[in-house]
Amino acid sequence: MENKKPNLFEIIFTFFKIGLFTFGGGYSMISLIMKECVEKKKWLTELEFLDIMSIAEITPGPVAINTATYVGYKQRKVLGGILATLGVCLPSLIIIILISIFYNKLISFDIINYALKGILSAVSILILFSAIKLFKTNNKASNVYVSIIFIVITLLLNIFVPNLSTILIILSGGIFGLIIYSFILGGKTK
Amino acid sequence: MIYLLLFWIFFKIGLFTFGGGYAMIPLMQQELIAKSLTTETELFNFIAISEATPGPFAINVATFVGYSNAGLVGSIIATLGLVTPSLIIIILIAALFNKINENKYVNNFLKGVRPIVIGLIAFVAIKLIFTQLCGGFDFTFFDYKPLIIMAITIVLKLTIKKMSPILFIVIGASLGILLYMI
Repeated sequence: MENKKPNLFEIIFTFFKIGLFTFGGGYSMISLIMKECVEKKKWLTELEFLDIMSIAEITPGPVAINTATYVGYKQRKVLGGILATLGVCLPSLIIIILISIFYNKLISFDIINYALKGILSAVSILILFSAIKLFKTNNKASNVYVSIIFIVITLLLNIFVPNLSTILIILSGGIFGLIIYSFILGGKTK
Repeated sequence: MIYLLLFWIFFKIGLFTFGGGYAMIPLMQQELIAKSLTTETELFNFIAISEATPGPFAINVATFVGYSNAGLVGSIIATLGLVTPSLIIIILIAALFNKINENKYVNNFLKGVRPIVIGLIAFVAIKLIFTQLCGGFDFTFFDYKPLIIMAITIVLKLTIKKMSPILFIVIGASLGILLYMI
């Protein structure tokens, strides 16, 4: 059954709405995209959405944005992908620019600083938990021991060689992973 | 020229961010602070505000840094820089998506990248926690107030299954105001 493909305006509008209601980590956006595009508008099936998510995770860029981009692409090719991306970024641009204009004034208020300090404390824990959650997910497809070694090495490098290029560490990890999983380990099936 | 610098730096950040928006933080810390586009304190403020405001976390932070360095145009350029690598990849390899998804070598490369990213994100969290509690890894002081907020957050996270991030933000902000006003 061919679903009715949205027009370009619908794409921008829908993703603008999604961007506007995304709070917290990127995964909240992904669940919003699923509700809007898969369940409500039926632009794609759940299976197609899962495929998109796995691609979004392996291509560079934040997962949430990539998901939006690829869902838009599925509807209206390149232009759809671009408009979905811009749509999802627009609320951020507007709101943050507004806040930035008054940033220096806002920061001068103690109560705002106290609130931000409190938010930062909560956020640090949220980030820690997201790392733990990622670790659990990661273990479904990769060797636990190799992963732990990589994680420990990364932590040690960050503590003792802080100026080492993060990009270099990421690329090295990828290359070592390629070597280890392709030629040394059998690894779990993808 | 600041616009080119902003675009290039965020292009790099976008290109090497694998996974969620938090994965961007270690890259931002290194690239932005090193090139004096922001300070650690300012970045932490941006991170806190970006969590509390609508929109994808990564875009919010990019917009902030872009604006603080080069105004309205800067914020747009930083955001465009961040999303461009991903858009280019769509345009170039869209047709090959499924093949790439199933390619053994691509997957094994990513199996190596993922734990690195996990370690990086964990380090960001650890560093944030230590900085708030005792000024860094060298224990210059000890502040118990962040500890209280963190402990409450941990308890909530462990007990209540699906709590909205917004609620955490509100609780964090309220506790912050309460504790620091004393």
